[in-house]
Amino acid sequence: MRNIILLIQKYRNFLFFLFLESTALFFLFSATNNYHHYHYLSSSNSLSAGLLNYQSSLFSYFSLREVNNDLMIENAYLKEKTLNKNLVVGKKFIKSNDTIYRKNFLFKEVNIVNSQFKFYKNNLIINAGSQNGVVPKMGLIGTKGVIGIVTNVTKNYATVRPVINPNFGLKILHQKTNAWGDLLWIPEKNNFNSVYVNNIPIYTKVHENDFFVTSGAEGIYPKGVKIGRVISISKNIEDQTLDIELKLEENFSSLKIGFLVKNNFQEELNKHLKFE
Amino acid sequence: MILEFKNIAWFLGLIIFQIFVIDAIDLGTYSYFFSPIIIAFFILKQRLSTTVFQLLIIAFFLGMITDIFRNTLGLNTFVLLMITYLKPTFLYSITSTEDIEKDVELNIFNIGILRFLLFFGSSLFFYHLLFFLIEQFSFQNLFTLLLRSLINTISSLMVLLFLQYVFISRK
Repeated sequence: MRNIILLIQKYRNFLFFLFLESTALFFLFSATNNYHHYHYLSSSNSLSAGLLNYQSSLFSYFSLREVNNDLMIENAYLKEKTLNKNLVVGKKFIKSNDTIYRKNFLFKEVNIVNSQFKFYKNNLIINAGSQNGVVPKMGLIGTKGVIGIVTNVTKNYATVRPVINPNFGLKILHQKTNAWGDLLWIPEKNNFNSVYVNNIPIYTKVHENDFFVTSGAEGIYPKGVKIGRVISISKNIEDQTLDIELKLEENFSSLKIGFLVKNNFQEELNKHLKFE
Repeated sequence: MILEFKNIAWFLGLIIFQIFVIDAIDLGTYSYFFSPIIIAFFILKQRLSTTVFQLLIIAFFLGMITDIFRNTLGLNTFVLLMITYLKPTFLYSITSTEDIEKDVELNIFNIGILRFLLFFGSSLFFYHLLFFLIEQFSFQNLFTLLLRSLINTISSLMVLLFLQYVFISRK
């Protein structure tokens, strides 16, 4: 017994080192699905998010001009949509401003408080939380295209997993041929403005500068939101698929504003998705 | 003594500089290669009379705070603890035991530029290499990884040189 205590005393630094190291490893590998990690030890907790919010409010003045331009373009687009909002019923009738017609998607504008784009697993923080009705698995779109999906919500802030994160996955459509593909961001090969599309059949006619858009299949985004345009195509003979590289529409290095997407029929849709 | 005012200021200052200045620098496409981590300087510069036990505790909290801000829980902590434990190995592989006094801080003015570059360079290179390896968790693209570590080591050395010339008063 005495020898054991002497041994522990002799190697106490090493043992303490091992203890702390295993604590760090425990955090590292239990981090992805851990309640405590998401609620207290991530950058959306009140202290660090508050500091990052302060930083963003300091630096947001420097890019007001670009943000204004983006907002003006967005305004024009929205105005066009609201003015032309007609619902076609049958072949002849056009109804407008119908009270029975329920809106499928609602949008809420948010500021992006902190954005990462040069790390391996990037994350964003937005300044809306459970108080504003944000729930996990809501989509976030920007002024030009898709940004990401909400993963974690606290009272006033929420964390968003952007497209440029290896854990982000989405089924997307080729705009011209309606071919389905899988979106994938590979950190070793892509930087913050490119992304890969897999599983497009080899006979699909894809050209450069074609757009890829969201499919709307899981109800997270509306159908037809742009994701990116094709910059290179290569054929994968073994799998009989095309490997396509996209240039993302949204510039992830200068994200300032975004729009949260709320699907009014999400619960109803989830029943069908589960049923499959 | 590790709890003196100067040390606390360096502790907070390095974290703030790391998160709000270095991580906020945007170099466009090249940002992938520019993500130096300089918090290890706090551990490496401590006097030789500081016990390993104290250093390990400090390293744990330093790494944890940085991790919480950068959303990489446990990653910086792991590498920083490793660096803390291997600090004597790095130091005594480039210099003999009697060369450096026990109660001086290991900054550029006290140990000289050559020893500073060798000691901090080798340990920071090890830091970045281990960090990127664990982050990626595979040996793919090893050459790119080495290149990234090298570039980040050089840039962090430059940042540290700048910080020391600005904030440490010479006698």
